Amino acid sequence: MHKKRIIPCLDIRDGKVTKGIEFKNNVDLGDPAPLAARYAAEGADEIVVYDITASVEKRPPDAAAIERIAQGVFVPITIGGGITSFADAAQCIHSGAEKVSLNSIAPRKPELLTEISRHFGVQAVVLSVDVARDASAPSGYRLFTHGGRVATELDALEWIARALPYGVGEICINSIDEDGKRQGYDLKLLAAVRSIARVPLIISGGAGSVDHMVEAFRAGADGALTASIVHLGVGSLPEIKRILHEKGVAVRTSL
Amino acid sequence: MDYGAGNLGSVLRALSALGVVADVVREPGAMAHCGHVIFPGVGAAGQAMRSLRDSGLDEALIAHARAGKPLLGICVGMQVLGLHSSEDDTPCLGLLPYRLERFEVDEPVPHMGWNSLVPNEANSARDACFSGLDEQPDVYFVHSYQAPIDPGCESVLLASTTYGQARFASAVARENVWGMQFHVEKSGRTGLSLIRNFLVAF
Repeated sequence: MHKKRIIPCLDIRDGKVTKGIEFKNNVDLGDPAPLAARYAAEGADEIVVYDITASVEKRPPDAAAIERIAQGVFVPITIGGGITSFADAAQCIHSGAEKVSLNSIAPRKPELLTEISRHFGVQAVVLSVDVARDASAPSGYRLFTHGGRVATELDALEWIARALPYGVGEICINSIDEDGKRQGYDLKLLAAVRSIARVPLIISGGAGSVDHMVEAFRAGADGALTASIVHLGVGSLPEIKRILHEKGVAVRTSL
Repeated sequence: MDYGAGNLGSVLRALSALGVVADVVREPGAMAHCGHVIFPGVGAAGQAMRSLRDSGLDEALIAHARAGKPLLGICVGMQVLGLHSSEDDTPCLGLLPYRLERFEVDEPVPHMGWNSLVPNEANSARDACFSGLDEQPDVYFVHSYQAPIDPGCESVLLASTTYGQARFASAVARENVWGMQFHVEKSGRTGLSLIRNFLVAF
């Protein structure tokens, strides 16, 4: 049976893992490579690494850092942050990533999605969207970029519908409103995206308990991105998976 | 073996984690010196077969297999060990008797993510391949084409997997020639064990 994915997400700032609340107030959690290796060994189904300041500082992802992470991680790796060209994406993939995640660049240069998916396959392209509730947007959700700092003119749902045909293997939905609050994912947002997209959906922002993950999987998520639940010691990955399994969610239990 | 499009880095990192010393083979002449050959592939079967033919690596792989030396094809590497792929109507190496068809399922294609292997008890390589693993271990897949389990495929079936309405060959083996449709090098500890089991089986 096809499995739901639990995906620890490492946000990197100045080479160190960091964790913020509502995309702000970051605390330092150390070197990414050993942390990524530990999560992979404990049952992470995938590892996502975001360089959260790369796009603001206008620099590409750090290839040497990706290589170091890939040395100890034998599950798929997704890299995001600072990818603005085909060459950046190719560099990430050649350094050991299976997928690249495009966020800020995608609305400005959607043809990049096509270029990468034609060359590496559509499964290598993740469209990442930072979304916040906004009553003035037609769907009630506005698209943000640059780590949630910059509001765009775009309605989030309209943007997703427009981006899909360019070549998107999956969508990662980051809720700015729920990020770090541990009150649960934005399930309405998830349902709205599910209704227009057939590709796998990864939900991010707001998990505070395993029950929140169960809700998201039942509502159509294929994967759950998790930072605080793991970093803050709410539960270890094997515990999270055991509980999900007991609650009837199909997860990978063999390591 | 590097034919210019493989997921070579991940496979080398996995071998290194197992403490295995590997050489990268890029030309047919070098393969004669090899013991075990791992043939990782990504992308389209047609492109893979063109690259193999252009470099002469197709003949080298066939000679290696016919000499009874161990060969493991991964992902597109497994696909082109078969007879034919409907992807660009591509004749393949013909080392094993199956055909590749595009997934026709209600689920999203490519089939991407973790799914379970159901080992085939009738295959004599089963114990060697799955030694030390869970009964139906999960592994990581990324593919749009698959080998349906017809009688030819059944004769070399090592494990099957189900995705939507499709049940397909996720691993195959006949004597010294093995194939794995999933990314064994990205399948966690299970994947590393499968690679090790291939290496110690011969």
